[in-house]
Amino acid sequence: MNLVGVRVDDRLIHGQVVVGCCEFLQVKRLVLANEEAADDPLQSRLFRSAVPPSIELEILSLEAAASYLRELERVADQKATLLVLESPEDVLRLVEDGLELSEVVLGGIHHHQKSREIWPGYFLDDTQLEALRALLRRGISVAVQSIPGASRIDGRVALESR
Amino acid sequence: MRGLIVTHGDLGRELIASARLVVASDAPLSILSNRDRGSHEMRQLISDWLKQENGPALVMVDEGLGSCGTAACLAASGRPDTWVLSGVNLSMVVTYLSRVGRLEPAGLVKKVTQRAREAVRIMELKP
Repeated sequence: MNLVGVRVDDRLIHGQVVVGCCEFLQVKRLVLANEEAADDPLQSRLFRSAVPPSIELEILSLEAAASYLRELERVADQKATLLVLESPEDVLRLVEDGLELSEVVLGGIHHHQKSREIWPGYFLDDTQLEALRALLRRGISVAVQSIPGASRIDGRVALESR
Repeated sequence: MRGLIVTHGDLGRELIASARLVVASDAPLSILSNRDRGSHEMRQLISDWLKQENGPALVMVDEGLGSCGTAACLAASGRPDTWVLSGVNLSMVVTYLSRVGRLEPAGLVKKVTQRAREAVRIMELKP
């Protein structure tokens, strides 16, 4: 499987993903693993209209995404694929479901209940921080970067000191 | 008809301030920025704004296929007499401010959309 990136973004599919990431990384397939989007026809339709036809878009529940990505791995699929998830907990769930990752990029995690600003513009709550620490313990690096080419922060230091 | 502009950063605030320099109107027009806000919060805030009053409402967003547009469509879905227009520009805001209360809601939406389209053109450069 040619997974060119794993992005956590609570806005899911939007300009930074479609233009900032997909064009830069020459993504040919976008996999959105999100329960709500997979269950909501209107949300799915809006996201589908945001993605150009040259990019294949799969909107799947977490369980279906895990299965789908395992199949891509099994058949050694070579299409450049970007995986987008809403939260670090969702990434952890996929990893616990057998997905092998080397890195997760925090692209956008905005202010929400019980969150605090960990990096400038990035607001995480305790559950999210614990999920990221769990990913680090599994040897998965955590980077903070809004779009490829923008300034990049290694998340480890802040996560291990808090 | 009530109006709300939903944009990235300070675009909405600047559009309204600039439009009020063009047209002398004190018609209310609300603003919401997506700065530091995730999709759920945006959707909730737009939904709350829509629920503040019954009656027709127009939500103008900058990127229809971005986070502002998605949140507006999800918040407005199923609500009667509510329109979401994308690609908000100065002409749209000026038109809204100068015509709101003078045109019936559907007519105002049509006029704002027409002005928006007319505003985007390749300018003739030959004398």
